[in-house]
Amino acid sequence: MIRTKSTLGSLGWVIVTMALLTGCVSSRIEQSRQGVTGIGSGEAMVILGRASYNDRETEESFTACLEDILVSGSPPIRMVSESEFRDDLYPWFEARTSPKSARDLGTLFAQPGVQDRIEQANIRYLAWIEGDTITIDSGGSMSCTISTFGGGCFGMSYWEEDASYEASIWDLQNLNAAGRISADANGTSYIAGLILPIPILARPGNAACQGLAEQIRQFIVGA
Amino acid sequence: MVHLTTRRLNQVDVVSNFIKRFVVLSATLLLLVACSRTVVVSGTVPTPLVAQIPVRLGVYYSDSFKTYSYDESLKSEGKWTIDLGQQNVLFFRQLFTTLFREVVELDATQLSQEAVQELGLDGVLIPEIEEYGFLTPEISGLNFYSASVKYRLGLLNREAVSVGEWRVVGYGKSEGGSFQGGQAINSATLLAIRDGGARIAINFPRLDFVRGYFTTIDREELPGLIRD
Repeated sequence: MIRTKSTLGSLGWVIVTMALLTGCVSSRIEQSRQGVTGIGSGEAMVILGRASYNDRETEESFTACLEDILVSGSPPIRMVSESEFRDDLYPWFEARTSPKSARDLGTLFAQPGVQDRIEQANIRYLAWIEGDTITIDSGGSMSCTISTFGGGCFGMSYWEEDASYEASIWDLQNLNAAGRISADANGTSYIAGLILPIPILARPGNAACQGLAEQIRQFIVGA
Repeated sequence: MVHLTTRRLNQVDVVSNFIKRFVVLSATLLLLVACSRTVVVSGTVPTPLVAQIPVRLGVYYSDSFKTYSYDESLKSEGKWTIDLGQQNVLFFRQLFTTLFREVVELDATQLSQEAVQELGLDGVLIPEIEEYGFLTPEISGLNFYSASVKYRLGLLNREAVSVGEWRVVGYGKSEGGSFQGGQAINSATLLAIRDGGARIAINFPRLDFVRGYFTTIDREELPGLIRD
């Protein structure tokens, strides 16, 4: 009995500490639908990050996060991985050869073998993800020292991040654009140095991923 | 006695000098090894999903293409050696055997009109690497490694005369930490080869001089396959 109380007490402390250490994130999700959607049993979806050759492009970790959420949850959506899709359809979905709009799908599907391969994999939807997470502001100062008498950190620093992503969803059965969903999240993280450095982290990228994934699920299922 | 002591001292000096030299040599070698990195590019690139063109082509991979290696000394990171010849040969073999119905690898002595006609070839392709380059985050200030490969593709007709040349640049980039530079350069180079290959697979058969040449080859299926 005493042991159970002790365990619950520790768990409570962990929860309270985690809550304190998590910074606030504000997020906004918007959707525009261009057609009726729905997904049959066995039909799959693929998520592709738009590649660019500058320093800003959708992180692989973001598309992987979306896949992880969509493949689990309710209802789960069958996902085809980005690398498998690009390899199977090489050279048509590379950075400089991929279709730039849903209008190009007709031309692409006329290429030998492309339509067959997509039908074999039973891929119904393709979502292009564009956007990134950037640090828009930072400041403060913190210094840490170590001496023979001990050490510690004093001061405070912060940084504000903005995550902005958009998913363009294409229907590969009807060869048209089904709609767009955008997710924006903003949050400020802090590290306070009170002998020990205490981080209070906001994760706007994670918030944008969760919000966008759930909205994509609702959009695809047609709920 | 004095003679013996002097001799023993000399022996001690010799051993001491040998140890010092060994330590200095080892340290120098260690520094040299630490400041030079060699990347032998390897990995897999998928088979292209493209229409096969019904021609019988010879392909000549020159020694400079097969053994292409790039050296660069960077002030902050020491010497880099990127060996990408073998990976290019593997990739181009796969690309050309997918793109053309029959492919025959030629050596330098077979680049003559007699040899081309004797082998019954419709033409000869000669790929070359003109330039290679890479950037590390330290140089570019960006948080990824990037690489580019500039290829030159030459096409000879049945008389072993040049019909035209085409230059295409493949580009790739890869994220990598400070201690994963070699891996990131390998990945970026592989993506550059993949990017260049994608453009060759799609655009090469559509080039004006290539289409013009294919129209001179008498094959029923050709006109339909070399349209836009």
